[in-house]
Amino acid sequence: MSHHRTTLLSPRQVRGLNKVGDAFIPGDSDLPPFSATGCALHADRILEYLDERDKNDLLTALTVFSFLPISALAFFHRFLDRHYRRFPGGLGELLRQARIGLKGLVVSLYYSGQTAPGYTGPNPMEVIGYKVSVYLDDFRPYQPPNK
Amino acid sequence: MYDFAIIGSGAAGGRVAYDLTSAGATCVMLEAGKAFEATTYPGEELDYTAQMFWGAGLEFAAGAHLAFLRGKCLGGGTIVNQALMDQNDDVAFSDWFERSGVDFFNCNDMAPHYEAAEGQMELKELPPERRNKSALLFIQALENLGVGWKSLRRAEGDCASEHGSDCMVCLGGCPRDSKQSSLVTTIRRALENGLTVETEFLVNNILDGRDKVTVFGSQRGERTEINARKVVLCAGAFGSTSVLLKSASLKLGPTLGRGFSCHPQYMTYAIFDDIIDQHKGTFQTVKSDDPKLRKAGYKLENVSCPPSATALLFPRTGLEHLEMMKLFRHQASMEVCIRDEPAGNIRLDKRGGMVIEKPFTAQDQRRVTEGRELIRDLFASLKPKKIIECEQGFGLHLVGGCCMGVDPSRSVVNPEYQLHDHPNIFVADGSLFPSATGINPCLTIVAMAHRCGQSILGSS
Repeated sequence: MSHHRTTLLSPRQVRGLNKVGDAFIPGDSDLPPFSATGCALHADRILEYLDERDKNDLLTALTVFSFLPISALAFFHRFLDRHYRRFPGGLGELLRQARIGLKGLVVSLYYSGQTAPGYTGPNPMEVIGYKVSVYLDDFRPYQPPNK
Repeated sequence: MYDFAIIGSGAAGGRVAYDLTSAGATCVMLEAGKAFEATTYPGEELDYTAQMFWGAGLEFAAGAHLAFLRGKCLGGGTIVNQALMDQNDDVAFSDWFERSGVDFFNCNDMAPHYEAAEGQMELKELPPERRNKSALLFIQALENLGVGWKSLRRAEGDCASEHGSDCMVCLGGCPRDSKQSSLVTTIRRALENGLTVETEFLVNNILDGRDKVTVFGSQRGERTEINARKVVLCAGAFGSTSVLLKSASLKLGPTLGRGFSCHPQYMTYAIFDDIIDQHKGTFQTVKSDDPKLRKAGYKLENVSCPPSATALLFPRTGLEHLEMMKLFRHQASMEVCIRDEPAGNIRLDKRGGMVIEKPFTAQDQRRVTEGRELIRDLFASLKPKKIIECEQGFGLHLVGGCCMGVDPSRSVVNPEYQLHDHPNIFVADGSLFPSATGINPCLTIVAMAHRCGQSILGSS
């Protein structure tokens, strides 16, 4: 199923994002896999605000990931998750940034509650039971008192 | 030409703008982020994180062992923080005096500035009835182990908590205008006084001319410049320091960028059989308050995060991750916030990008370890199903880089808030702090900014 609706990701990069997302969030009996929700469709809402350099690095990584099997990406995630603190120097910095950067992108999209049009499966936000609101019926713009 | 160009719109920028415009000065405020208001905040965590923070929500220290959160919008960090307001104590000011030689760093001399700062905002000590279940567990755990605690004081108007408002929403800007950000307090008043605000204006560098200071930057992609008689830097530890580092024509000593600290924070979660719903209602209503912990150099907070931030902090991936997230409503969390040594350094790389070096000293590491062990014991006293310690540290209170002091060889800014060799360029934000205080810095930043305004007006 194609989720390519973004303007900043190519179809291959969307595949890469869905693969890396599924490696991190494979889904279970309650929560859907990352790719099934179609939340990758909303990637532009983050990518648009990234620094150009960070965005280009990320797009390159997603292109590379699109060629890898999900099992390899899952191994990569687990490996980074358990060992990321051990690596010194530039490699360590790169791995730590990759770990938190990719994880940040995936979880931000998945736990946004945003899905693809027509998606009818369980919404992750509803499954985990997250709902917040602020009472606004009596809203008036704040007027600082004269002091 | 403006009398003053104020770079940055957070706690310091708003206060300086209000004081200077109240005295009749013409001022322009330059803010890198967008302008939002109560009815236009993005709302969704996905969007506000991307749109209202630098780096779309994540900036890293070199080595990526620590991540930083820094507000990028009109109102700066005061829009996205929790509006907790504390004054420095004698311990904090004594340390500042020893490091800087600045004689007004004491509770007595700063008292009128705190008073002025507090006078522009509504402050509330959060009452017992607003404590949610997570806060009650936090208190119970502290009391189980004999650790002192107190209610927090927050800058807020009417949160309508009796109608079930959830504070979590306001981490992306308060849609009720209740949070007493610089936007709704000082900037709104300064606008009435004639303040000009330019948003999406990214300052690159400043040039100190004979009778004017020129600010160079770009606004929505267009290169532009602003001339003013004086410039006041209020862009925070990263912003003010990096602008000065890029201003190659200025005479600045080797101390610029040094002395950075950030109160590194580490979260621990516990999973309970009962539903906790720590994201509901008013969160972070109490904190540890114990001389033993103050002496040990850390405090404990009852902080909670929305789902994606929680997921980011949680260790593990795959099914283990999903199992933990499905218990979101059963989670309670505590965090240790250490008073770190000012050993950090802000510099530029070869391409002009900002680099944050934040080494952990042996003392810093010891404080993190001790704090996390105490949290483990606190949670254990509540007999949870599971305790989960998060490895990723965050820095939220970013201070230092343009430290104030009397000795030009050991500081960047003099006690009159001027760069030592550039009397028309002032710094008024947290970058002035000679060290981390172990106390929420927001109110002290406002008080210091008020003193800066008085100093500028007194000398002009």
